Amino acid sequence: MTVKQPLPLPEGVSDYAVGGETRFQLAAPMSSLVKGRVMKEAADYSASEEKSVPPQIYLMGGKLPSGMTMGEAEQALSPVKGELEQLFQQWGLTKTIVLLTVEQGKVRSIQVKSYQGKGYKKEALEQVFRKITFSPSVKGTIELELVYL
Amino acid sequence: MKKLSFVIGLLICILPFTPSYGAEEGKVLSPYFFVQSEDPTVDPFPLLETKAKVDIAGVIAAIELTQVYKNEGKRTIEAIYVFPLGTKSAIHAMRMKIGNRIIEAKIEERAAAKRIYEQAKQDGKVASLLEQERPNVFQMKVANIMPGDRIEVRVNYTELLVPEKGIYEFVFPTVVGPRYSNKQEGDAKDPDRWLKTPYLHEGEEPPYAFDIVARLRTGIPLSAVWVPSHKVTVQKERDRAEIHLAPEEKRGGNKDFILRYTLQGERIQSGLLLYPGEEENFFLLMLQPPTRVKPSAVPPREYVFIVDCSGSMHGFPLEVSKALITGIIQGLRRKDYFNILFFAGGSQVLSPHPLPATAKNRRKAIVMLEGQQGGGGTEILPALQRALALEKKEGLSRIIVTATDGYVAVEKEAFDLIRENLNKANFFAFGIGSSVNRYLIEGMARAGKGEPFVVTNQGEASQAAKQFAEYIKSPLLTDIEVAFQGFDAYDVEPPLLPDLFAQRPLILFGKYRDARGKTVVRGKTVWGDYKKVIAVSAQLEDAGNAALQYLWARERIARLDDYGKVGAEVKEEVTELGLRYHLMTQYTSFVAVDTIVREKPERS
Repeated sequence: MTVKQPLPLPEGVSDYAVGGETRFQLAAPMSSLVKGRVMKEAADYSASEEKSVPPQIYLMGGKLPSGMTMGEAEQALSPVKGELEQLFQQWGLTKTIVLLTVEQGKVRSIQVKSYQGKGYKKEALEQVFRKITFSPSVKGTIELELVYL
Repeated sequence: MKKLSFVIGLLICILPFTPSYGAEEGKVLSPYFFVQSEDPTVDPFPLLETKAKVDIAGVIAAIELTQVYKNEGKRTIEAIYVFPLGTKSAIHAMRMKIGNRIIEAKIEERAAAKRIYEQAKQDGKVASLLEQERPNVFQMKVANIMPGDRIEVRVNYTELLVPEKGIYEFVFPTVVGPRYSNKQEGDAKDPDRWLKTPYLHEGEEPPYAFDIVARLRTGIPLSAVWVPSHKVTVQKERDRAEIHLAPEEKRGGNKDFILRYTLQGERIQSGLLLYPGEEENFFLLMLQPPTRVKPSAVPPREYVFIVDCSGSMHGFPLEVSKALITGIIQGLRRKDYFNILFFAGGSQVLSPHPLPATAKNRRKAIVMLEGQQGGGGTEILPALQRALALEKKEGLSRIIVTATDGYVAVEKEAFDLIRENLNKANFFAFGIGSSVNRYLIEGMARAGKGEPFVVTNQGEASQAAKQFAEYIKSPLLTDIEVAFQGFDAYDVEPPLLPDLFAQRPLILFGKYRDARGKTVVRGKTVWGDYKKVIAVSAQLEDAGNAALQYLWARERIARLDDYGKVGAEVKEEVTELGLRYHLMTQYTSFVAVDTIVREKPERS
């Protein structure tokens, strides 16, 4: 005679787990407690909560010289973020990939690899990116993918 | 009035979209409720008690689990009992006690062990067989328990304790949750047959006594010791503590026993442990992670939440799940995008497109979430597939978050699916409930290069939601590389270290030839490169670290077996490791046979 020792259901698990209800019941009406909470939350909703957060520039990715991190790139970008945001808004840009040629931590030239939006003025972009300074040991090409959301 | 019509409109919009969970037709391989036998000569509850003695020294826990079987009926029986152990348990010894006689179990190839057991059963000898059904689910069989017999089976295993945010946690799982399977009974293979184990009804207490005693010796002064799962008494001294279960918890074997402790100054035990063996030497490297630094701006992300609304989630687990997901959704930023997929037998999505996390959309999601009740099967694979096929927000990295109790039998298939789609998303898994299937939750996270989380009650949900947001914002360490300089290390596990999100140490197992040289760990943090050098010397060698050999082998088996592809040929290698290191695996079992014939075999 073989006896399979029956197991207790884990605490909190209901009979539904092992066929206590063979057919799925449609989501029953919400309990009055839940409904009350939902009604309150929804009542708290107001258009003022939807006030838009102004779009911002985000560093989404890129290619960096060996030893450099995205955190450093982000830090270097932060002083010119405001100016870039103004330009992106003005030109209707949503995304761009730029290549920065850097020597001794300073931006010598820039090239726009790709962009999404109406257009851009290279000179204006160059003027802003030249203000960026990296650590003096950084040299080579830095590729930055920026989005404006 | 306008607000009210918005709410009513929202409710009307949401309620009709409740998932059309398919009712399961036909007889599938699913558990059933236990109905007490009418035959009064048979003892339906042969397991009298299960108790554990836990000794924690430093970072290694040694556990002795004892199961006592007693036949209180009038016929000789074979008892079968399914029970869980930790996902990282290395089971290395078993013995059986009948009266004053003790029989040491042997490790054998699974099929051979089964043959030995069946033969002993036929011969009328008392025998026990321990088999692995899943890496965290085991089955004990004890044959020829005669009326009045009391038989003790003792199992020894070891586990490594890994702290998170300075908190050490030891989990002793007590009961296996019922696993959903849509397989037909006739098509079921051996490893899945245990799924049919009967269950008692909701609210019925475990019929056996449960007890646990834990002893801590940390070496570093203890700060706090607590057990959130059960009532206990704690006696704490400087770097030692003893924990006993309260008498009223003797029927507490239906939820995981969770012991947590912290060391003074939130320190963690890190560094290098060495074990000089007779034939091979083993090491364990535990490295304290760098301090978390929050980046100034985090790029927007797209989240897909997969919420299990099956029958086993009905009630408390689904309420915890709702609280957790609500917490995460409320923390999303307007620039983030998200979607929710609810699943049981079928599935349903919040929106065909990813939604920006505006207040309106977050509210819509929360209302829909609140409307879920739980019921039906747990078709997790189609749900994962559908989630992966959902329209993606271009340009944003996608994070898939699954919330489930994990009561399914398709763990490996889920791991495969995630691994094959790693380029599409990072996966994070939340285990919800009092006895979560941690094998699934940890495996999904590991396959998805994310982190596993377990939430056992509603009170923890809001904290877990906050922690999750923190992890996602800033991984601690990425691109991790380990180099051995002058330290002749080999067979290192894991061969590649995943990115580190949570505040837990890096763990590396391996073998070595000479205890000299150094280990160099490099990686990247948000603000710069990370480098740590650990010196190796013969002074660190300690014969007391013998458990390292089992832990190393368990780690390697886990990689080969638990997380290997479905159908991949790893049997030979896992069997060899099991036999060599005396370890329980999917392909090796412990068998103990008494030499005395005590029962005439039943003839049919």
